[in-house]
Amino acid sequence: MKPPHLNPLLLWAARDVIRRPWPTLLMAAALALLLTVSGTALLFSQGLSQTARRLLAHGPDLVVRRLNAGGWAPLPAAEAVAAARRVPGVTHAQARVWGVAAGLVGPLMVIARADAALPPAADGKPLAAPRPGEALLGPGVDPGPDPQRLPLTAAAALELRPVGRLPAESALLGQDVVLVHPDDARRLLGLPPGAAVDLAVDVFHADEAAAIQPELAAAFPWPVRITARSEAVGLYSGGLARRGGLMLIAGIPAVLALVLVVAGAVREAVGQRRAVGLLKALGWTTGEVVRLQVCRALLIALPAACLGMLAAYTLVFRPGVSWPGSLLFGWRTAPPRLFLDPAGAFLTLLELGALVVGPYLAAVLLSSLQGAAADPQDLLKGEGLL
Amino acid sequence: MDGLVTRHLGLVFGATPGSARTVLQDVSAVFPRGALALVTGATGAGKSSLLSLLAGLLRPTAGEVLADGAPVSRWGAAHRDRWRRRVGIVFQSANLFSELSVLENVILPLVPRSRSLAALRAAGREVLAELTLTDLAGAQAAQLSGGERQRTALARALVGRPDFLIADEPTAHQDPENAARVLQALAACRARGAVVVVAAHDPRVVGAGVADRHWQLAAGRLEAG
Repeated sequence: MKPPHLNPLLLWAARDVIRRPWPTLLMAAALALLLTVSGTALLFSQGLSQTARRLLAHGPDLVVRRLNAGGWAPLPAAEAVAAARRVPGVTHAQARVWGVAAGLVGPLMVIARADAALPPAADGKPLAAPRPGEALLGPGVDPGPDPQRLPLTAAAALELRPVGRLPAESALLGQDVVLVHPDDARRLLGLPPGAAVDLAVDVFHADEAAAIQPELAAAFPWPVRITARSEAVGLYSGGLARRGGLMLIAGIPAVLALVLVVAGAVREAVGQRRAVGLLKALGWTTGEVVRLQVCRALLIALPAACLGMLAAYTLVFRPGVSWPGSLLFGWRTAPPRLFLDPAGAFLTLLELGALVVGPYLAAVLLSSLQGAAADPQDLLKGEGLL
Repeated sequence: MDGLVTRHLGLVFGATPGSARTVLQDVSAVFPRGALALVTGATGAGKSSLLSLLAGLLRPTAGEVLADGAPVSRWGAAHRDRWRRRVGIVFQSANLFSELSVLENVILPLVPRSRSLAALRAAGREVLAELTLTDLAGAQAAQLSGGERQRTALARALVGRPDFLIADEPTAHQDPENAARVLQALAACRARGAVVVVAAHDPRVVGAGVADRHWQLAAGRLEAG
């Protein structure tokens, strides 16, 4: 079988790139670095919001909290559940007990969990709801020097025995979570017996959640504030967007670097005016000269883009990488695993292409067009030929 | 008419009246196919400028250049680019790419329009053999002597079997043996039916008797020599 013919122009461009290794390497390194920086920011914020949406999609339709003059107040669990269930359209109501307690390494989210419907543990084994004195730990919870003891302090001090780990899939929301028995939670958080922090309510049609809110609020004998899932998602996304904004500030140097890369590409193209003039004198058309320059730029930009993307992906999604979480969320322990759907990754690639490779290629294309359109004799007045 | 024809060709450098310098004026000549025309003249007489106009590298400020009857000097840049594929050019200074090898320099004009690099290399080696440069095919252009550079430039002009060969001082820096080879290559090109226009100072070219017509350029005007 005959080997396929490679276009000589493409081969020529490849040889041209190899012939000048240092400028090529410098340009490729600059592009790869830019892509790594901007790719990390984009992939990280995208991974966070996709993971958050994915997890919040499984949350309750409505959350009810009791108000008093000073803010939140505990609500009587049984009475609140009964009141909610009387409202037409409500399919499920569950009182929840949760709060923040201090662990040995940092603050932890303590959640009471009495039912048996838990996801499998990190090692794949089924998880049972914690009994009194036991605790299930989120993926990022560090119990301290003794893995058999988890000391916690809030309204009261408590020492629990870790009996399992929550799966990594729950990590973004369950990163610093400790699941405990409701009695332990109430004791730790200073809640009276039978009291709950809030009420999780599911409705028959998620679209009716907003319409049910006034009726649900009227069903309780105390003032309440009701939060819909869409509000929670919005709140969370808002927080992520603010953090994303901070990352954009960090991206300003990357934009400046991109300007320098573009300027470098233009400078290089201008520096090759005489070579372009000679090619045209030898019978190359403007289109052929531009094709050569663009092929050369693509041969530099595409591998650099792949390398930069790979580095960005690895920095964000490789298990165990901790710096983005620690930089943005202050996570001090093992970071959660983020999720990225393929369509999102593809869009991110397009965004990156538009942001970094696009301007570089445009600079090469425009300056090549500008140079190659001139008369050969004008272009030949330069340096670099024998 | 076949060949290259100039009609009342004029070239003025400098845009303002004070700085304007007339290089060529009212140059009318015919360079027919299958003939070698020799253009001589003193340094600065305008030989290189005339060759640049004939090769379509410059636009005249007056008159026109016709190639096989087509007014190439009036064409837009894109048309002239395409027409220049039929032209082989040897510059006064060889204008080689120093970082390329001799063979790479030679095949350069054909790179964008060839289907295979191997075929290009074969064509390049063939023309290098005609000019006894085969041994230097892999050498960097930067390592060549002046004569070798000029012969490489001639090989580059001949590789595409041009219809019009425009050569400026092709025998510069050549020893008698290589000068004879260069003249032989020019004559072979003429024999193929190409228009060959050579500008030269070299008395060997004038005395060799290869020219079918001799033009003398003086004070910007072209006269039969």
